[in-house]
Amino acid sequence: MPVNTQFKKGVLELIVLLSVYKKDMYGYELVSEVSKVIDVNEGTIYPLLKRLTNEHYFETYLVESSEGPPRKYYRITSLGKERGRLLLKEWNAFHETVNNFIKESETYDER
Amino acid sequence: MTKDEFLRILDRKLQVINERERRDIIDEYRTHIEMKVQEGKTEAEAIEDFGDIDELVNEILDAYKINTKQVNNSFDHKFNSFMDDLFEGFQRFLGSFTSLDVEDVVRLVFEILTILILLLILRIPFALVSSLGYELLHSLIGFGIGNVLAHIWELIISIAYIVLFIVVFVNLIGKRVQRYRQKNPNSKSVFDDFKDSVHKMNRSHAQDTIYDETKDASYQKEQYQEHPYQKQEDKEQAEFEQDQYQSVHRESDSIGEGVGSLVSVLMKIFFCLMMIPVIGIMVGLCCALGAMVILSLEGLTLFGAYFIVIGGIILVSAFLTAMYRVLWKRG
Repeated sequence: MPVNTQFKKGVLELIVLLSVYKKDMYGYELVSEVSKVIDVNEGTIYPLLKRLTNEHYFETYLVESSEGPPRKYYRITSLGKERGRLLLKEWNAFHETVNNFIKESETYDER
Repeated sequence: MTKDEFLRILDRKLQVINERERRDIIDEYRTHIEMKVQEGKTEAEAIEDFGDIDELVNEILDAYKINTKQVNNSFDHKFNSFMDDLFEGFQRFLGSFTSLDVEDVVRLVFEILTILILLLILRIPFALVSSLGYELLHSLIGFGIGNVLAHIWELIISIAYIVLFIVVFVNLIGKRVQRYRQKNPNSKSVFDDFKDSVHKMNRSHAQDTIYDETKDASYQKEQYQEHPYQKQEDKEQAEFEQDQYQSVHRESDSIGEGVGSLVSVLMKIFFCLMMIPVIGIMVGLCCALGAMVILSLEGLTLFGAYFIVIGGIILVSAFLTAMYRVLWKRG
């Protein structure tokens, strides 16, 4: 497995949480949204949605669709919002630390 | 891999998850593939985007906190997945020949066997007529010519049977395969198709008698002379169904239909012949019933025999009704 995939997997949950936080979405819509941000195996988003639902970060409801079967929409719960904030904070902290470290390395290089 | 195949494999590999949840997941993937198809991708491309199916399954099981490593290591699981892979291979192997899937193929094989048995039963009246004609020709006409005629008779009967066999067989199997192609199985059984094709041939035959009588082969005429009542019936039926099937009549003088009509006459004749012994049994049973009534009046009542005779009458009449329906689709 390339290192890249591991990175992506780590932030996938955050991206999914934030997307659903913006507005309620159905599975395929969410997959397209996430694919715009990171190139990830589309199949793996559904299990993640499942897990987030099982952990009560999301709840689902069905909406009739003019084309095809009814769509299952995901809505974020207050627990999910909390989780999103936590992940975002962690990500920012992580991102900052790593960036700082990279900058320091660069100055080290220039010296 | 098609959508249905993919979803079936997924379903099988996710057996550990309970039914409702599993259906939920499968539905998500089905919708996803359908959306991709709407966007112009093929089913196969959409499925390829999912990557390796086993990895996908592991991801899903992971989401349920099922320890995939442990599950994977148990001997049972290994054996199961081995069998699954074997079956998938078999499916793919079959898939390269035909667009039907395995279940349909298995069912088709079963149905072919059923049709074969039906046709073999049909062999009985043919054999009967064959030996009857043989003996008659043999004993009535002198040795030299009689012998030759008898052999010719036998030959004609066996050819008639073979033609009938092939036409009915091809017709039925074609129909079944087409039905599966349309993905509309279990709406009808083999027996319905059997009935259908007999009637179709009857109809086309009826058309022939009305419109193309002069064109007909001499062999068929011979058959008519032998069975004038048959002709009468056919005409009646033709009139009965004439307006209904007028549109078909133009195509009815093609070669295939001609053979079909010939076969239909033959089939009718042999079904009639088959009915003769059955009617005989019926008459015998009725006589027996009468005799038993007389016996009971004399003071000797045999309940067991009553049961047997009445049961026999019911069975035979059911059989007769079925035959009647196969021959003339009324009632």
